[in-house]
Amino acid sequence: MSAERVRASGARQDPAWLRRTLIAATLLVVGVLIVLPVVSVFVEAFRNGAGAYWQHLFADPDTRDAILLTLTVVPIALALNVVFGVAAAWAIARFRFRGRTLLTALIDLPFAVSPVVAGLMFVLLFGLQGYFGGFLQRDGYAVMPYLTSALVVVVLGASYAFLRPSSPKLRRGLWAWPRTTVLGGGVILFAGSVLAQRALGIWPSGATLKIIFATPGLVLATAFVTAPFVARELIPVMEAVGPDEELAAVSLGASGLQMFWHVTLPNVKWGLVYGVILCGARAMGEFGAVYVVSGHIAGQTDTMPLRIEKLFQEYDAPGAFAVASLLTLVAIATLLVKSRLARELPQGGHR
Amino acid sequence: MGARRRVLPGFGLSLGYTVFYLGMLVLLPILACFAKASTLSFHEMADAAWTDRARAAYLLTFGTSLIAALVNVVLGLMIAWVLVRYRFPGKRFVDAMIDLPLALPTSVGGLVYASLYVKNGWLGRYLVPAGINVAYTRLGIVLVLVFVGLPFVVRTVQPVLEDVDPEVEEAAASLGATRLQAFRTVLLPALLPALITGFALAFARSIGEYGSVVFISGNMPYKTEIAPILVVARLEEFAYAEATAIAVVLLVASFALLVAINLLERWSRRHER
Amino acid sequence: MSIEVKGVRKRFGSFVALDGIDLAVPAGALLALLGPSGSGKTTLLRIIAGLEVPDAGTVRHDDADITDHAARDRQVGFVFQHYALFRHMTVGDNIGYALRVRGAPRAEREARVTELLRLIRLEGIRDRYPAQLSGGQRQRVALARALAARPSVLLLDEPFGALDAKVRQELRQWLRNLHDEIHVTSVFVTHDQEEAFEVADYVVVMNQGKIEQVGTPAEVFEHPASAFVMDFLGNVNVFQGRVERGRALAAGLEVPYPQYPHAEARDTAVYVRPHELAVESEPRAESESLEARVVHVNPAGAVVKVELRTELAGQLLNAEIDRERFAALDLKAGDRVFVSPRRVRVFLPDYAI
Repeated sequence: MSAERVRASGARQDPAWLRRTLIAATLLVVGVLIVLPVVSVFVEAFRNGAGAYWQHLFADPDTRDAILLTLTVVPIALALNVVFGVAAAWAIARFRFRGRTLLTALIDLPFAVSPVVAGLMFVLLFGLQGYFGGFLQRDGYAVMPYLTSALVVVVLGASYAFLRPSSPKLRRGLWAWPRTTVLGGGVILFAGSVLAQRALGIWPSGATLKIIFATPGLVLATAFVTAPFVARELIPVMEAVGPDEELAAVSLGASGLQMFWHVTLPNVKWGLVYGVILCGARAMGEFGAVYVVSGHIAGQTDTMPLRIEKLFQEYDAPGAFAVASLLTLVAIATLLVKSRLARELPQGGHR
Repeated sequence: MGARRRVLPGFGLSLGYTVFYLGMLVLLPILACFAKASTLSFHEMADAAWTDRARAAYLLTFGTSLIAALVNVVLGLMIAWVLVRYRFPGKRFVDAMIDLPLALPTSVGGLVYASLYVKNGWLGRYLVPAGINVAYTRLGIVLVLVFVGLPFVVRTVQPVLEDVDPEVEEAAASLGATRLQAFRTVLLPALLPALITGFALAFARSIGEYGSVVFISGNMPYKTEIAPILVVARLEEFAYAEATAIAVVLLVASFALLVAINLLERWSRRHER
Repeated sequence: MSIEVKGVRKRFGSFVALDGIDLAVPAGALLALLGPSGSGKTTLLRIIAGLEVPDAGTVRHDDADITDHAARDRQVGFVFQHYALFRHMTVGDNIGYALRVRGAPRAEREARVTELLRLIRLEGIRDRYPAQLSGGQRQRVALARALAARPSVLLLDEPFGALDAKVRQELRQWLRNLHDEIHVTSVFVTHDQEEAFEVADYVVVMNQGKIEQVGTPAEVFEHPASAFVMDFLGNVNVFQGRVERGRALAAGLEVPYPQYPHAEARDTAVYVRPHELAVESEPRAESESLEARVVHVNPAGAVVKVELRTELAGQLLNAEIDRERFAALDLKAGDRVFVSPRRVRVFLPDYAI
């Protein structure tokens, strides 16, 4: 009787025929949906031999420029999102504050926005018809003194907060008056820096600052779409590690920076590495948002995925597959790193 | 410092920067989108966002996303089951490949799918003569959406299935339940929250998907034009108001889904303990 | 260095962890914070260390108010319950960390690490990682790390909580000896009264965010200040009864209780420790002893534990008698005996006459 055999083989063991069927079905699904497409990318790319492949990649100046542009845009967007991800993970995993749940949900928001809509938003802000479009067109560089001065003030203010002695008895001079120092110093520094830049005429006046249909727009759109990745990888890792070692470092006399470099970073490094790689891979492959803000100027605002689409439209399949093969390699590298890191990432509470 | 001092350093700095960055990069653009939409009167909005062509696009977007997400629930449950319960050669490889759609650029996915299923493609040369047209049809859209959404279901179901206490199933068996009864009455309820969450994630991802669909759909108005493609089409006609109106419909739908997913996760977490 | 805590309060949401704590720790003392979980003892320790910020109140070291000082400036060595060793650093790097962040030269650091490894008797494990150590070894490394910068105060959170019974016993004595050697003001948290009595100079009993009693182990054990302390310090027999005119009456027994000379009778619980319950085979005087039956005898241990049930009320009692007396009585389950308290304790919380 088959029923008896089932029972004899254990309550959690499926009968052999079911096991075989399900495994075969899984292999078929994964094979057709995932493996076959990956294989076909490389087969199509090398259809006319390695020489032709090389030609497609580097002899075509527009393709070459697309690769270079991607290699410019991705590191900037990645750097922005790494700083953001570390800051967000630190605030959310280590502190309890009002609005923490809301902030966590806000971080995920870019995932919920269609990339095309994300691109549209930036067009609405910075495009010719957009809210800041007219101004950017007329005299866009006029904002640069303010932007750079604000950046200087923020960086110096943050360093002040970081370097300020934590004990009251050590706070003398400027350290003793944080509000006055930061506010007063900030205003003076900001005004001085703005006036100096204007007087020196560093930035061109009456010139157009292009954001949409130019590299800054590509960076913004890419950063928007990939913003959650680093934070999302780091938060669970940081929570699993727990704050005890950081508290130990602080009680042993470490400063904030020392604690961060000696304890926090080594403890979350694998989560950070995976977050960075995933974020980078997604940034390289971002299509919808970039498509909307790029304007498709060959050689200037075409990133690699946009170049694939253009080549595809021009019926240059081997060229499209050549570019696609590079991006596929990045994706495969990401998977390899992930399966390697699976062992390093803490799976939860073990100490 | 403020009234409440914190023991670990960097709270103000990290929270301040997080809020600033999110505000500038994410909230400001979203606000701009809604601000632009609010300059339209109700009629203008309806004219822009509720045309026959737009409605056909919504229907197609949500319909194909729904079908793809349902297919993903079935396939995802099966794959998760096989990966957790069975041992077979190549298992680690299959497990690793599941994440590929997350890492592979959508444009590459679209490109490959389009070329696999055209008349002289690797699969198209067998399917097209048999009367199955994938390229430039709705079936093609569903197919790429299944590709894009597959990891979400597998990766939400897999850990839950791994955590199911083996004794629960053994208890069911010792109480006289058949294998199928045990699955239906004991396992499926435990997996249900994860299945629903995976479904919602795959569905949300599909609604916004653009890069892969644009290659395979052919983008014929009323037939294979999904909503994001319509947004781009309007933009290319410099019809910003119309594009924004459609975008707002998409935004509201995806925000509603985001809220639903968050509630679901809270609900399923409560069921775990 | 002495520690003084005044009026410290702390709440987490609606949970009141500390409800107005005043405590002085004399310089060089070894003090135990003893209490059940949720009593606030760990929170108090963390506030002294600067790892938690009080809602109100002050913390002083000697004469300096350090309430607003960050943890890193307090010259405090803290040993975490789960050790919190830096998992990616070797034992040597862990122990030397406090000197490293103070910018001490390498040679000085190495010398101090060697000295501390000798102190904790673990010279051979300098280059190992925390994951390669046993629980007891980690505990000692955590202690050495806390001592490296010569803190003026040493704080330990449940230092033996995560260890098995034998290692625990060893480490207790070792900590006691270590304190006698280096004489740094130390405070440790425990929920184990035996541990507190064995190791500490002073015991602070805490309950629900308040201090119930402070004293030497002998004082606390001999003169518990409240019903809670009495209860918490170990198994005790409780009778419902009353006090009047210098006597306590419970379960038909009458015992002198000169602390309450008033005529007005008051209902109260009467506490008798197991070793203060005399067990006899014959009744002494009708009014003084209580007839009971032996339910169970546990002769394993330095004293013999006897479980009894009173004939009249059917109440279960625990008694402890020494081995010689046990041999003389020759008790076994079912025997009829007579018990009488040698000493009773009564707590009248609102006693104000």
